[in-house]
Amino acid sequence: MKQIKPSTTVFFLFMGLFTLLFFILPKQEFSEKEKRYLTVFPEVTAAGVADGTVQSGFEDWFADHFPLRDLWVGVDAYFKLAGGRNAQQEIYLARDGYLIHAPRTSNTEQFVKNLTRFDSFAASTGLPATVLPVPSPGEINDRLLPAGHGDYQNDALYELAGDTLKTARLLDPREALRAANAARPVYYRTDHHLTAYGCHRLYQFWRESLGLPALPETAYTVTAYGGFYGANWSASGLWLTAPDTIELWDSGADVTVTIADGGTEPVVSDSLFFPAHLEEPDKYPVYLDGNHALTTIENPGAAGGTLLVVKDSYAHSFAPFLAGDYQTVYLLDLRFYRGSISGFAKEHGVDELLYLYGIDTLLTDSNSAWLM
Amino acid sequence: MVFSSLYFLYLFLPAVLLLLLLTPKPGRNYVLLLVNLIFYAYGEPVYVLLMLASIAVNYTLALLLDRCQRRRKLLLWLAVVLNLGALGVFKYAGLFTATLHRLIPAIPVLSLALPIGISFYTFQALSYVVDVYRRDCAAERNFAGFASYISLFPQLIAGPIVRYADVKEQLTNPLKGADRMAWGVRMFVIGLAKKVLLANQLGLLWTAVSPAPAAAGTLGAWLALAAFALQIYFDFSGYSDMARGLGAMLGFDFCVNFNYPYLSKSITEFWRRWHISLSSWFRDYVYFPLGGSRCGTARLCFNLLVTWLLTGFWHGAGWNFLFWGLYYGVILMLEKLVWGKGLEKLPAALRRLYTIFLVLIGWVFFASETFTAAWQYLRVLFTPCAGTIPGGLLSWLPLGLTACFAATPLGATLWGRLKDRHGAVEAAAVLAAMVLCTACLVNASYNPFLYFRF
Repeated sequence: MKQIKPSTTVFFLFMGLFTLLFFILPKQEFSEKEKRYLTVFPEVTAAGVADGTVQSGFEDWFADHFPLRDLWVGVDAYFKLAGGRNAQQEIYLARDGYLIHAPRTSNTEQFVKNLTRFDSFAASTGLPATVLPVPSPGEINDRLLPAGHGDYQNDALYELAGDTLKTARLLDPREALRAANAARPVYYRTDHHLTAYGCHRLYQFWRESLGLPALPETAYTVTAYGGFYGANWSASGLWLTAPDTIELWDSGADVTVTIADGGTEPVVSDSLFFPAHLEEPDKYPVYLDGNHALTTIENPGAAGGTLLVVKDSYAHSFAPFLAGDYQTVYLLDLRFYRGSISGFAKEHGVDELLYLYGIDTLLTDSNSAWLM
Repeated sequence: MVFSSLYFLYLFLPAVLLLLLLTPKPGRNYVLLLVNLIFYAYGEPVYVLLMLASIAVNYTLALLLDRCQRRRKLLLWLAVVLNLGALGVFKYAGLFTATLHRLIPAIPVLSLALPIGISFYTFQALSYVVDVYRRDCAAERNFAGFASYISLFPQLIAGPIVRYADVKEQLTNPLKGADRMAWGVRMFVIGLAKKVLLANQLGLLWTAVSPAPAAAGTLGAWLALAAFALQIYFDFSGYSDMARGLGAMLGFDFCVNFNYPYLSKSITEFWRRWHISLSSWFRDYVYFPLGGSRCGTARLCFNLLVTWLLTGFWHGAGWNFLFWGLYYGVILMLEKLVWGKGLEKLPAALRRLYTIFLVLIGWVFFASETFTAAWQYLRVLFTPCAGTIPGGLLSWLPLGLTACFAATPLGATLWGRLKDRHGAVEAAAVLAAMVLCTACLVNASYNPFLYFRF
């Protein structure tokens, strides 16, 4: 036999190496970047083999535990980027190191359904209500997007929201956020949420729209933490993108925070911030410990009454600003809260309603059904 | 099991090659058969029995055909009826009963899952029985050898359709050599890259545009159609390349299945370059037996139409495929009888344009599930309208140009000049392709969950 060719050697060594690594490297249970538990090896049953579920379970398991998985994801993300396929990805690498989510498929039916439910719930409670959708990050930072990017259709969505709402009042913060964005970023570069600064401007806009005073920027003590890798960073695979800085704006208000989830003991804290999360790459849960069914913020020294915020995660960094103005703020997440919400509002003497959502969430999320 | 998957590349393939390397020669066909059956049973744990039944029936009938001097025609017809009967029941019964059900609602719809690869292995078995009947080859007495031929995993589920006479010798004496191995590795890696880096990516444009072509505008619809044409070419020829590469690693030599079909200067030439093992199967087992072209004009037309209706229908259980076959039957008839001679006098560029145009229009029928959808697509193609190309034209340009280049032999020619000088370049190219394909396959499983909660 003639000498084996270098290409043959490379092929079999490469294949063999990763086969070997697959078996010898320890298997991870949880993927930090994907924020999900990785697939476990399927239970092998005759019925499962016959209908193919064992095989597909095995394939998912194999792919989930492939050696150096994050590295491969990064290689592919940068390869596609190099081939000009930036605007085709779910996350765009925009100018100035921004990672911006591509427009969601426009499901206006779900959007209208959500707003109609918000509206009829407001009407049924008789409480003053505002709907404050946070615009798509790509809408505000459109000048940073790559050529050929999709259309966020925020104009149409805000208009549709205005047409749909009869009782609740729609607030469109786009102009205020755009103006604020000219001075400092209102969105994180690697995450879809508003920065603390962006939240403060949104809070000011909201208070002014209601004809109420807002605490000025100078009333807060700001602490900044670097190394924040947001959700868009995790989703993009573009690992070389520089991290964000996350800021905690503290007005010094004397607050009690109670976090309740169905079936577990409520957690009580005297701070709006949960610094343990500053140790993680994704630091956004530093605000109110991230997603929970019901979060209560009490500040007996405040002038306002009781505010019920029906919200998604955009409210987590926004709520600390509300704490200064209301004696009680309830943050209720329809994705997790199970129970009568009109009963809740009556029982807890709610004076005012605020719906705070990212406008993109309203296109996809169907949990508003729980209001009914 | 598909070749372009992590578990095939990094588990099944290394295990199989190691196993065959360690198996002494007498046991080789048994191990190969076992491997083939595992490969097939992984994807079709139930229908593997159907394939085994097909193997047993064809093995027996061929032996009988070999021995008998009388009633051979009867045995042949029995083989044809059994093979095509199985194909009819498992592939086409759903379509036929659904169509009848629309006319007469009392007829129930029979929906059976299509056994993977049945179209390929049935044709392979049929060619074998016919060849034995014609005494073109002797019947195989070794059951494991014959079963290995029918179920040979590299080409089991997507071709090429291999004739028994072509691999008979290699079943007992596998081809060996460092050059052959290196060639196999190269073919496999080229095929893998075609499938993963080109076909799958080009498919995204077609998937985005085809449900609502008007939104992409006329230019977008043409580009998406071109993307589909390239997708199906790289998908299919990539799979054939992988099959040939794997075949070479296992000591087989499979025929060329695609020969740069998009460079053809006529539709006649296109079908000599596209899925060659299938067109030659229909030529040898349908068209020639019907009389081919050595007969009167009317008979020739009949032969062409029958062959091409069947060729179209082979591609899928749908009336659109039948129509697609008819479309080619008619064009080939016209090329033979009307404008074939005239076409040859045109400049090459024009002839290529003519071919590409007709092939693209053909793909509309191939890819559209209903005639309404095909008609809508054609309307967008031929009534100018503006629209937006998903992702923008520029973002598809590098991929599109790479794909067009890869659909010509230019790359192979340049490579031929280069590799004589640098063996290391080939190794580097193999490594790069493996890295990029693996990255792409891993990324497809990367699934971030944004609204996570413990």
